[in-house]
Amino acid sequence: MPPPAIEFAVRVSAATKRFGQHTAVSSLDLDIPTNSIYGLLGPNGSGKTTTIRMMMGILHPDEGSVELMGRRPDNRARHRVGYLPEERGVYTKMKVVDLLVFLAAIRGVRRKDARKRAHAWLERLGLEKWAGKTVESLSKGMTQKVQFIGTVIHEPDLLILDEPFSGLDPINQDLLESIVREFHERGTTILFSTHLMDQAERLCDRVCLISGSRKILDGGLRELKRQEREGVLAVSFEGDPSWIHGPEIQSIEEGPDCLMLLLREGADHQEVLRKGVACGARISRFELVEPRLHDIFVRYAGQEVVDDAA
Amino acid sequence: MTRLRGLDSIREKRSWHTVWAVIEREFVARVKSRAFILATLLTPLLVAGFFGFVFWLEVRDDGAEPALAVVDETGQLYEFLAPRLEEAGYEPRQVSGDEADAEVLDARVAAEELSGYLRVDDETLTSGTATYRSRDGLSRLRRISLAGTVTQSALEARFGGAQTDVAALLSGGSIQVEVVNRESEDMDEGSPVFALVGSFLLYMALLLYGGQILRSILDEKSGRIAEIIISSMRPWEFLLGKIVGVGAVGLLQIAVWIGFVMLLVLAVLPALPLIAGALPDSLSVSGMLPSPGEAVFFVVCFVLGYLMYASVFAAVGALNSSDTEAQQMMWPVILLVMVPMMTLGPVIQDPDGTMAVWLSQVPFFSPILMFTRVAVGSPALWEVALSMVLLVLGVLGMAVVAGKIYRVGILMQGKRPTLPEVWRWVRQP
Repeated sequence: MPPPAIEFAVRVSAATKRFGQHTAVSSLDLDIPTNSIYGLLGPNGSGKTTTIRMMMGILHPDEGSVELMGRRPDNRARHRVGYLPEERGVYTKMKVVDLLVFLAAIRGVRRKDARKRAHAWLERLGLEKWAGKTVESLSKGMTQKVQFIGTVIHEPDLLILDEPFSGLDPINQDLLESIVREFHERGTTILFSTHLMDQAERLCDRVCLISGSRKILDGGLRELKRQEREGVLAVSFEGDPSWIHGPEIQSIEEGPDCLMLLLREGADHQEVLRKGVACGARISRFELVEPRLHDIFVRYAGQEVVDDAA
Repeated sequence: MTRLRGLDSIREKRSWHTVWAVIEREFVARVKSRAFILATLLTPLLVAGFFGFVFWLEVRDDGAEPALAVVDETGQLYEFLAPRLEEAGYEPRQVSGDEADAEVLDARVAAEELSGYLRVDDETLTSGTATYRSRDGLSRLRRISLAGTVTQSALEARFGGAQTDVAALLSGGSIQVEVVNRESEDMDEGSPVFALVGSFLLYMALLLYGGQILRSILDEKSGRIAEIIISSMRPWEFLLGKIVGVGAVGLLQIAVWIGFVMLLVLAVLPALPLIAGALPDSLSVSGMLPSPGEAVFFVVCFVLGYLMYASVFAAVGALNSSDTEAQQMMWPVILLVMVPMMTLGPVIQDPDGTMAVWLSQVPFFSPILMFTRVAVGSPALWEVALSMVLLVLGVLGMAVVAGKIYRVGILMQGKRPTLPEVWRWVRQP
């Protein structure tokens, strides 16, 4: 599959969406480069799903604009997208293979091709002998695999996966992850929406953090981490702990054999060290460490939001 | 930008196959379902079985011994009786002299040589009474048939001749109605049976298939399947596919039922000589059948009426998240369908009355009421045309409103939106 010539698979420009009094997304700018693995991150209720629905042309922004595959999100653009919504239902009375053929057909795949592909995918995911069974006879995990096949059966150029692995056992999660990576290697752009920071950290090369309907920051994962290098301290000490409760410290977490101190933006870690020495603590470790995505998020979005997410 | 837009709309035409996928899914899923097969095949079989059983109860003792002796004391009735009796399935033979003696005949009946014997005398010629003696009495159907035969023969014997067509007079005659300022060629007597059966079928179909749209939307809402589908097609395309798919199932089901009735009326009933003989001509089976024009109009009324109510039901489905909620909102809709049924009697009696004329123009009522007027009377062509134009406009308007409500409502869960909210959805471009 030749990579699409467009630079951005998705462009969201100054998009705002309101529902009555409630603003779900507030003047959001978001560019998803072609063939990236992009993480749309934020706690539940932060506007992720609304943003994705605007990308898919299901909702229309009140202000601003959305481009999908270089055009307005019409059916033609949308048929090149594999969208796995967070609320993903199935027709439970249909046979598995019929459901897959239907899901392919509404994205413009011809019936004969669709049937062939459905069987190939079912075989790959070990569900071949369930092809003729009704969907309601499948277990929850099998149903999720069928939903995943339904998302990729039309070989999309862009995959939008909203909380894709929730409820899957680790083995199947790895299996689906490897298939997603395979699509990525073939040129497909991947958009993950999740509130699980470590998952995003493992998978994504670019992220956008949103909270309270606004974008907090976005960019390449490496660059973000480099920028935030001054943000996290790993410390070990004995004695008076009052020095780590100063105004420079935003939050404290237990790390492996140490405490992880998240510095407030603009705070100087040398000042913290001085205070520690001054109050007589015996400091055995004091090290600037690479922040986790989680730390960056907490630093920008604030503690209370993260509690929501967990 | 405008050029690009134009290009897009041309290319989007190709997405009709996605709508087709929805139509096919709705159709196949329904037609394959056990409920559909049972309802489609079993309903007519049950109805036919029921009537067959009643019929069998009536005639089970008859027919084994068709030989019937006739004692004609008037000397002039037998020649009129014989052909009619043969038509009704008897083997009549005239007996006289010693053979006509009551004891001899009773003995022959007891010996099962005769099913019975009929005695007609001068009294028969004046009042139509006659005596029939047999082993087991006579079923009601045969008694009616025999009484009719005797009366008609008596009348023919007294008044018959070249100048009088007694059979025609007996069948009830007919009045040709002509209206002064209207051409008389589009007048026909109409069939109240067809009007009744047809409007009842329409009433059932509108509620039944409209209700299936509602069910299907509620299921998709609670099963959360809609979002995947409307991420590949416009909500109105999805709704259109659903409505067409369910409508096609409805047409198929009605076609099977009507085909079955036609088979019964055209092939089975005439094959039973007793029935054919017993029915007066004014109720003849062919009189119950619609003309081709009426049949076509029935289909038009079904299709337009179905589209109207399917849109209403779609909106109700999109506005609610549960059966119980939807049920409350369905009452006004059901009342809307009931209005034509409650006014059906007066409309059949007076198809050109003020109420009939006005109500049959209202889009929600016209599918049933205009059909009824066409079936029993002869409304002016412009009345029919106007009501259909209004109905089409009503359907289009309702479809736009329902589509807008559906577009937003399909993704809503839980709380039912308030009236101002719904109004805002509808006003959105």
